[in-house]
Amino acid sequence: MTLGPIDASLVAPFTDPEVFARVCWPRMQAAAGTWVLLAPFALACSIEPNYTNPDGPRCYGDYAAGEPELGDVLRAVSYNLEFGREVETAIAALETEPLAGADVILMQEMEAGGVEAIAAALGLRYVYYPASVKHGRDWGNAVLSPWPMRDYRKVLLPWADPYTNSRRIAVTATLEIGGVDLAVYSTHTATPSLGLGARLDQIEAILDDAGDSAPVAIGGDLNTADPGSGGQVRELFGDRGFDWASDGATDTGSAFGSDATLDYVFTRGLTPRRSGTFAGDSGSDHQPIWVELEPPP
Amino acid sequence: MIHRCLLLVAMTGCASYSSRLDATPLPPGAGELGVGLDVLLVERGRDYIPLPVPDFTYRRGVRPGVDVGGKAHLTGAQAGVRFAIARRDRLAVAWAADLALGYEPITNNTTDLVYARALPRLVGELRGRGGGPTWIAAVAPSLTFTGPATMFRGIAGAARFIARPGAALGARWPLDRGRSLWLEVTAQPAYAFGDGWLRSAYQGGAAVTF
Repeated sequence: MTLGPIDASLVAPFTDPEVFARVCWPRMQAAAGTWVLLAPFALACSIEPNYTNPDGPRCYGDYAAGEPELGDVLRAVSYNLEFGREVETAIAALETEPLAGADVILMQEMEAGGVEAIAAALGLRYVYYPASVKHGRDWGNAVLSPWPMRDYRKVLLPWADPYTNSRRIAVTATLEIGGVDLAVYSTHTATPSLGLGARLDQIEAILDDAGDSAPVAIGGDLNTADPGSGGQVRELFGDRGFDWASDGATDTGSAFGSDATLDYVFTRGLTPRRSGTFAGDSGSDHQPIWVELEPPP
Repeated sequence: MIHRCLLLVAMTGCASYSSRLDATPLPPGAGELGVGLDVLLVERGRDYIPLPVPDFTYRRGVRPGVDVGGKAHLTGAQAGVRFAIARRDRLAVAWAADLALGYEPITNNTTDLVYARALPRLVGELRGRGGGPTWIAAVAPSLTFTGPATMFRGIAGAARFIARPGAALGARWPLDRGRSLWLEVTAQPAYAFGDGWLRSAYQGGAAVTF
């Protein structure tokens, strides 16, 4: 097949300034005007209420039967259960190897009822703080563990989502594991709708809260969905002396149509052994990750 | 793959700081269309990232020594007027003032999604001899009001003013049939009122006008 010459009238608006000024420019002006008028409405997403009181609301419960035996490994799990919906699926997953018998479970996107149900089913202590309300439901983070738990707090993270105004938090607690205090943080930093610099500020707020303490474990959904963000997040933790303990746990969710590593556990003062991504049904848009650590000395 | 392409397209929707103006307004009734491709170097997280910025310009002379025009890129546009101030031999000076509006769907560092920017510019040119390039220098400061989309719902705590004492250097080579090739680089230091100095943005690229 051969193509004939291009009709000059088709390209005239792009090659002849006179035609462009008469035909295209008024339409571009009209389109720009329409855009300016409509943009505020298009950008006005629903505002999500936040729980900005640093003291609460807080939920704590104790379903543990005594104190467990310290094994030869310490197992930590981070689990983003999408909107805290499929709690029964989460319980089944947490009863399945390699998640079963975890010493600490860091959960995100949870409601209080779901956290309590998991703690009751698995015989765990828990603390839970909601960060905000999404789609009419509380939405927050939890720490669950069979070990004695104290000094639990909510850490308010800086910056609000530029579309919804939702704020993010970390939930921290001190676990008494075999006579050693282990500080843990369960966090869920903002999505890429908040700029990467602000998301790094959120992580720095957690790192500042942890100070120089050790041993310490920080885990959760860090939303490293956008290109290059994972590297900067890992570098930031590395600069503060943390190991990427979950380096074997990749492809924990999806971003922009591809598998992506969104969930992490970083530790300091603990020796990571191995880690991985749970391969079974998670009931979520994330797969839980697990980390095996040398027990605290 | 489609999602990644969409992401790339979205990332080209960043602000554009190019001037692409010399100091000679178009004669009345004359029009000039331009197509350019720049690389914008901006801070993202704690590092710099290069982003492509395609843009389109159009100017039209309205009176002797005065023309109007604008520039559009994927998610923003600006329009303004240029006045000739002085001309002597090969030297000329013009003043231009533009207003830019834009929306950056993926902001690099904070919550600055929506912006309105005032851009007064003082442009000087040294016209080339015998088909040589015209050299252009511009003092291109700007004042930007920017903030999150929640401003439209009354939550504007993160909104702020950013002043950029920017400058640009460029050159324009005449081509055949009235076309020109432009090269330009610009540096845009940034000071956010209340937050202090931000890392500078840099932009450079080429354009063809006809």
